[in-house]
Amino acid sequence: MIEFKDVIKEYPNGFRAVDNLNLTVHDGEICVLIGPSGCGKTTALRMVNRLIDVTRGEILIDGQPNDEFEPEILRRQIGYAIQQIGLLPHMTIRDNVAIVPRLLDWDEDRIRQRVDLLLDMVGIDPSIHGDKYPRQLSGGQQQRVGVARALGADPPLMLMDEPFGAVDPITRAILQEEFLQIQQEVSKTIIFVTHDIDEAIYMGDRIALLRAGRLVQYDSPDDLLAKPRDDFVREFVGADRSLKRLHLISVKDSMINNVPRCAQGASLDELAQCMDEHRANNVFIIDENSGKLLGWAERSAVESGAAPEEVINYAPTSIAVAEDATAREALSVLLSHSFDLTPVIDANGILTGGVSIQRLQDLVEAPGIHAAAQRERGQ
Amino acid sequence: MSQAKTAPAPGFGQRLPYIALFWLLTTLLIYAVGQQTVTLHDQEKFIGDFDFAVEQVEGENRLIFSLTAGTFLYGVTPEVILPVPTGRFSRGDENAPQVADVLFDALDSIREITIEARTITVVYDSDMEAEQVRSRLRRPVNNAVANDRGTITAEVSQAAEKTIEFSTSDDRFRYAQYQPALVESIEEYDSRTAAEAGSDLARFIVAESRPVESLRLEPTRLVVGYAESAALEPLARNLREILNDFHPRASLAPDLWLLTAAPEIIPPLLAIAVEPLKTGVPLFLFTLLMVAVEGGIFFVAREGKNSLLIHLVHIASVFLLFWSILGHEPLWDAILHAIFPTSAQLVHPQGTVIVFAAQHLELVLTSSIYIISTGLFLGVMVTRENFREFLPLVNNVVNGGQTVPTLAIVAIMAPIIGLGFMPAVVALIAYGLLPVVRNTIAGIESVSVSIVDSARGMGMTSQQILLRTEFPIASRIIMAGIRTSMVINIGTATLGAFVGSGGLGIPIASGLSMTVDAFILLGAIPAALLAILTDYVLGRLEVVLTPRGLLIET
Ligand SMILES: Nc1ncnc2c1ncn2[C@@H]1O[C@H](COP(=O)(O)OP(=O)(O)O)[C@@H](O)[C@H]1O
Ligand SMILES: [Mg+2]
Repeated sequence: MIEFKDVIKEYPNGFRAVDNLNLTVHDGEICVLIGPSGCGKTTALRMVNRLIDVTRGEILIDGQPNDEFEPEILRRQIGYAIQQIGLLPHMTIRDNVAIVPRLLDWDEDRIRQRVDLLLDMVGIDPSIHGDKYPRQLSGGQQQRVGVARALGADPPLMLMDEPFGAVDPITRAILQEEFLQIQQEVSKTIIFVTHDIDEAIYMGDRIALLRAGRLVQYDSPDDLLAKPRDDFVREFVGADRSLKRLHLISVKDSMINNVPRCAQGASLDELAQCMDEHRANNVFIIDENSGKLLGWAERSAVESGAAPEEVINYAPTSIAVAEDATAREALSVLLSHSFDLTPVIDANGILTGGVSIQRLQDLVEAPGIHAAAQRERGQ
Repeated sequence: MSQAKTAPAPGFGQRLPYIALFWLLTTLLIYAVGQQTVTLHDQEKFIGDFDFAVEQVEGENRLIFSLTAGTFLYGVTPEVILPVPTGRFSRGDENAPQVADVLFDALDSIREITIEARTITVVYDSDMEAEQVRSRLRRPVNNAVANDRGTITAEVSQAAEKTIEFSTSDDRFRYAQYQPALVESIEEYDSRTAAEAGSDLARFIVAESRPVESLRLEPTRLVVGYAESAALEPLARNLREILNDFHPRASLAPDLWLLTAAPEIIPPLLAIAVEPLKTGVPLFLFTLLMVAVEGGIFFVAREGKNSLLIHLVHIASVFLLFWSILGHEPLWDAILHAIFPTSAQLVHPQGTVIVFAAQHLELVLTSSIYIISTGLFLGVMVTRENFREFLPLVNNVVNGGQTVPTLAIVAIMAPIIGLGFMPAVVALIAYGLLPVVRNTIAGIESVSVSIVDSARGMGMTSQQILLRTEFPIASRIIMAGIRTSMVINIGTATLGAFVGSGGLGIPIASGLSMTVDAFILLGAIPAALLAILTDYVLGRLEVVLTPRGLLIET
């Protein structure tokens, strides 16, 4: 647990970069510090491992003030990753990851095992890249090594200052996802600095929004989006905050199970009846035995009186969304077809339900449901 | 990506064993040079003088020159080798042996010479520096005795003032009693054309004297047939002069030797490598060995194997080659003679090339040790957080050091610490500090802030950051500064001659003042070679010391 208690940082020129910060980061949580450039995120982060001294107030680590440790001793227990990565160019990848364990005098066998494990974990094959030098790796690979290095001596705490800031958006998305997977395994207490609200929402268990050195709002991503405290927060999270919230929910959590469906080979009357029952304008056609989605029929086509085979559109994947997609993807599919309801399929292609515009709107407007939905998603 | 750069070379076809080829060419060159017999015609005599008895053959146009003293062919196996007579001799002694006479001739201020079985003690009167006297006498002694030069050491006596002691590790000093001999076998030429195609001496005589029509060279006699019209007296006098002039003094034959000279003043570290005067290994055998070694390295070690050992082999072998050639006096005589065929003076009175070069190296190495340690210290200090305020001051001081002319520094200091070795070293330090300090600062500042920040963030102490992060990353730039400083230093150190520090500046200075161009080259060529060698050696070290990860280009 990391606690900021009335922390103030004034630089020698009198500039107050952090102003009366109170913040608690719980064990195993990712706390994202976010805010406009120059708002004091980096300063706040670097005070934790004493790269910057606190002017007033104190920072407690597991209840103990951090200035009770020698700075070097303290830093060796706290993982540190920065945007510029800062790999030492004259050391091999393995040696870079081994830096903190070596500072801690681990024996070489243990270091070797640990290093290879970490490299594997971040998706760098140690047998291929382990003895290369940083300059021989791509930017994304270097970022991965940077993360592995921060995890080097298995520190309970990690400080990450825009660790994925220097790579292209596609690589960044991959790194974010992989890092969350790692975090599921290692469950570190992390302070994560970013200026990218999407990253904050995606990565954070809690988000601390700073403005000019002051904490404006400290909430879960969903609450931050649903209940922005003031206009600054509202503006910062963006006009599309509703859409962002949809990011946080999976299709599985937002779908309804009862959708109009008919087995292949049903008559036109049966199709029309099914739509009427559901007050829907289309009906999904499934395979009778397996329950797989085969296609759909629209009311207008059904009522035109054509033969049943001509009424059905056989192109299930173009309209369906997967169960583990986000609600936002479902919305995207809904908007690109003129459906009231988009079908949801599981990994085997079996129709399990559907998502409607109305349903999404309800979710966005009722915060309680989302919190529940997200909790379900997380655990 | 730069992976291709570090991958092992797929085949040998892409890379040639250039270094082995270099050694092969060197071998051929040395072998070729070694087979040359180079003769110098010099007023200076090596051993004694020549004298002839001249008689005319009655009724024929013939003169017979009979050799009564001296010998023509330097290097001819002496016929008798005798112990040098022992005793105490002063200048003008009738019974002084030839060895003593040679020494009395070499230096006017010699008062007394005591010869014992294994030591020759020379007592002199002048105010000359003992070191200088020693180096001036060294060569005459070497030449006058028959002992191998490698066995002879010369030392300034600790026991007595103004006394130099030569001793031999042989059982005793010996000298060669040359039987007067013109040539080794009889040569007969019955016309000028025949003589023009004959031996060196025959060609020399017909080229210098027009009336000569036939020649017969015998071991101790020269029989000259002359044109009837020739006036006898001038001809006899002329021939006597010609014969006196023909004095082969140096010979390269049969080949160049490895480590030909032992400088007495080289710093102890190098002295180990150069102590034997002549190791007995012909240089071309050594270079041949290097062909094998480099060939072996080429075929065994693939590219990318940046082995320290291989670099050290390169460095050491080139140094040995260089030092052997530098120490080969006859070769230098021959080179200078080739450039200045008419120069009367080719042999510098104060020492040989290798002695000057050793003094020079000592001057450069001593000052460089101070330069590197001080430069690194200053550079590191002003890049520390706490001392950053001194950065402009240090910059100004080292810049100033290089702006003030070296001679001015010496002139300012001369009244305080006098002339000689140390003032020259101080001047060189002042002059050479700039590149080292500047590059140390630049190197350390080239380490990006984020690298230092992450090192600190991981819990390295300041000292660990300096040694494990800043130095390795800056090493290449720092080494480049050291290299620049030392190469400049070699040039600047020639000015040391003006303050009596010795070195290659001495022949240059005396060449300028005496207008003997040969002496200028005697200092300038080795100084240039030394600078090139140093640049090469430090260039290699730069590669060796730069961490591999930094050599990868992005
Ligand atoms: N050493 C310093 N001296 C004075 N002001 C500083 C110093 N370092 C940072 N600042 C100021 O403090 C503020 C916060 O900086 P920082 O924590 O780096 O912001 P960010 O939120 O972008 O990471 C900025 O306005 C910056 O200009
Ligand atoms: Mg920042």
